Amino acid sequence: MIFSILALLSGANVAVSIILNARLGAVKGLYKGAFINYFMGLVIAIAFSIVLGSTGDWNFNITLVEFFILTGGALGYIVVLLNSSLTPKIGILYVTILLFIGQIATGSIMDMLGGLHVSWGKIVGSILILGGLVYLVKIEEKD
Amino acid sequence: MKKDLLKNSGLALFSGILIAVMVLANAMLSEKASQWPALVITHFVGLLTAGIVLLAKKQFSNIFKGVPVYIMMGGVLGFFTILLNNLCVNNIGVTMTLGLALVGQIIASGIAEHFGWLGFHVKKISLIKMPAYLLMAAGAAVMIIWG
Repeated sequence: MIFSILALLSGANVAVSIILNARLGAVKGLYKGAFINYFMGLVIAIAFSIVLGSTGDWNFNITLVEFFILTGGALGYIVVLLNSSLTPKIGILYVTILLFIGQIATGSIMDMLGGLHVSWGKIVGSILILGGLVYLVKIEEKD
Repeated sequence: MKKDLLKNSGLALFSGILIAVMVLANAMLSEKASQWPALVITHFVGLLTAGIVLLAKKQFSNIFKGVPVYIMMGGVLGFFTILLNNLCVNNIGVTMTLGLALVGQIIASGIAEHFGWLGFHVKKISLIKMPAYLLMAAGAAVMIIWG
C-alpha cells in the first residue's frame, strides 16, 4: 500500500516538473535545459549520498551483461528529446496515450520475465486507466 | 500526412518502451549498487550524455546564465521521481508503478489547473471530465486492491 501511494506521488511530482521544465526550455532551449536538469539532479544525488550513504555503498560489481542498468540516464535523455519533438506534431495528449500503452505493454513483459505475477488486477486496472485517459483526450479535443 | 502520423505515433510508442526499460534499469541499479550510488550514477550518465550533445552542437557555453533558480528545481523534482520509482519498482513492479504514476500525474495536474496553482493555466474541472477522473481512480483502485 505504501508503495502504491509513493507511485501516485511520483506521478504528481512529474506533473509539476513538466511545468518547470517547459519554462526552463523556454528560457534556455531544450539541450541546455536537459543539461541543467541532470546537473541539479546530480548535485542533489551527491548531497544525499554524502549525508545518508557510506563509502561502502560503492563496493559493487557490474557484469558486462548487466551493463544496460547503467544506461538509465542516457535513455531518459533520449526520451526527453523524442517526446519534445513529437508533442508539437501529434499533440501532448496523444503522446501521453501512446507513451502509456508502450510503457504498460513493455512493463508487463518485463515484470513477467522478472518472475513477477502480472495479475488480472493489473491488466484490468491498466485498461480502466487507459479508458479514462482516452476519454479525457476526447473531451480536451472538443474544448 | 497520414504516413507522418503513423511514423510519429510509432515513435511515441517506442518512447514509451524506452521509459519502461529506463525505469527498470534504474531500479535494478539501485538494487545492485544501493540507492544513493545508483542515483549518482544515473544522473551522471544523463549529464554526460547531455554534455556531449551540447559540445557536438557547439552550445556548451553560458549554460546557467540568466536562469532563475526556481525553474532549475525541475531537476531536483526529477531526482525525487527517480528515487520514488526505484523504491516502487523493486517492490510492486514496473506495470503498477507506471500505471499509478500516470493516475497521480493526471489528477495532480487536473487539480493544479483547476486552482491555477504553480502558474498552471486556470482550467476548471468540468462535470463532463469527471468520468475520466473516476475511470482512472477506479483503475488505480483495482490495481492496488487486486494487483
